[in-house]
Amino acid sequence: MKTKYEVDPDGCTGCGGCAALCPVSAIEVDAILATITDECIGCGICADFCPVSVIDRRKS
Amino acid sequence: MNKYDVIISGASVAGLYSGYKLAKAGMSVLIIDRRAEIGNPVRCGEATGNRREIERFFPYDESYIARDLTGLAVHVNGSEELSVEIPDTGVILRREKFEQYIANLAKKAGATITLDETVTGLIESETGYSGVNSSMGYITGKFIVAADGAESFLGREAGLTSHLKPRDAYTALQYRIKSDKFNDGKMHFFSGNQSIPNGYIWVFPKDNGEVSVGAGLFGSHKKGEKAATYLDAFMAEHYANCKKSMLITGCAPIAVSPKQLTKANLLIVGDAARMVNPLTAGGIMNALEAADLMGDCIIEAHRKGSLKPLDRYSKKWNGTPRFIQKVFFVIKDIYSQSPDEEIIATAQAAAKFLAKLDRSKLFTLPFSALFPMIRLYSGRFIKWIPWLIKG
Repeated sequence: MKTKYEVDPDGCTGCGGCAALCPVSAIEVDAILATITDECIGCGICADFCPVSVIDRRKS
Repeated sequence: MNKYDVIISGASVAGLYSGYKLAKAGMSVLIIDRRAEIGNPVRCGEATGNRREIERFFPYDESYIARDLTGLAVHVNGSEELSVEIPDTGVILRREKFEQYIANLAKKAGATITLDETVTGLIESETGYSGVNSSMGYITGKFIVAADGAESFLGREAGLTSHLKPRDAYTALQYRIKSDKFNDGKMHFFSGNQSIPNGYIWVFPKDNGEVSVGAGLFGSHKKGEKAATYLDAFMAEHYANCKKSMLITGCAPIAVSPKQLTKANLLIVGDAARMVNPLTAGGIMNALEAADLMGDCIIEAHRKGSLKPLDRYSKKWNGTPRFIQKVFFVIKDIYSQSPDEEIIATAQAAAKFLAKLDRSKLFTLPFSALFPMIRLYSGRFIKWIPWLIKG
């Protein structure tokens, strides 16, 4: 199975930087939380850039 | 009623101000934002232009001003390399109050502001776009303004922008702290490869005895390198016993705006159109400037019943404002690759440049102050010249 990424909802501030960077628009953001959908291609750009480091590979 | 002259996605500076301007001109305006409250959460270092610059657009009001800035200090690897007093440097905003102030102007002018609702897509028509789909259903609009921030959702839908490339993304975080240290009215910048490579740390004065301490990295930083790591080290050194409050994070585009800002009756503005200063990541004055220009074009197009006047928006923005963005883009690129001793020289030249800058003539820049910098960097600068002229 392909690597996918997920957001830890506890630390996410919803700033939306990840969504701006996501090349396949796989990140949805409401005002306070980002969610990574199954469209994720696993490039990891969001995780590199997340200012609060709450994006990581999915554990499942 | 689900029919408006203008639908604006995004109730922040660019969206609210254009909404105010268009409603004042008699158009029916709907502003939609996914946030539940205007101005919150704040995504901003809150430094912007001075009183005179703000008053070009709407009245200056003490309610949204936290502090007047009195100058600039640059520290490289812990030592203060320069410190200049610059009257009218700018102000530190209470950003949420600032947005609420513009929102009130827009409401008084007759604009409808709808919060906690999301725009989900564009509806195409033969001549462009007939409206948007949203969490409130289908809404019709003669003009659609995408002021939806760095994500630029509608701009991407329309193909005017794409996702932000890593090299064009500036990521930052900031804490609020009660402290007297570096709390003298100046903007303090901390640079140097020991402190923070490929970015800078800032301390900005705020009201109530507080300062905002933040760190930001320019795009394309090394894997695993985080602004937070540098900020934590800085805090441990300078603000060890201070309680951190209010974490603010954000991402700013540090690219240059696309040349095409309109597609049929859709227009992009502000961060959505990458209208940010690529060196400072500041975007408030640019957003107001562009929204003003865009507003004039929409009003004219509405009166004439033609989309032709909208072309003037891209054309005018691509003149001086976008050229200034390109100059700062080059400075940013050179800065982010320079060793510390060159950063010191750069900072000194930049300080002279700022000290001579006559801000009443916004676009008359004292280029002579940049000569030492250009001499130092001429080799690296030359390759940018064709792009500066034609790019």
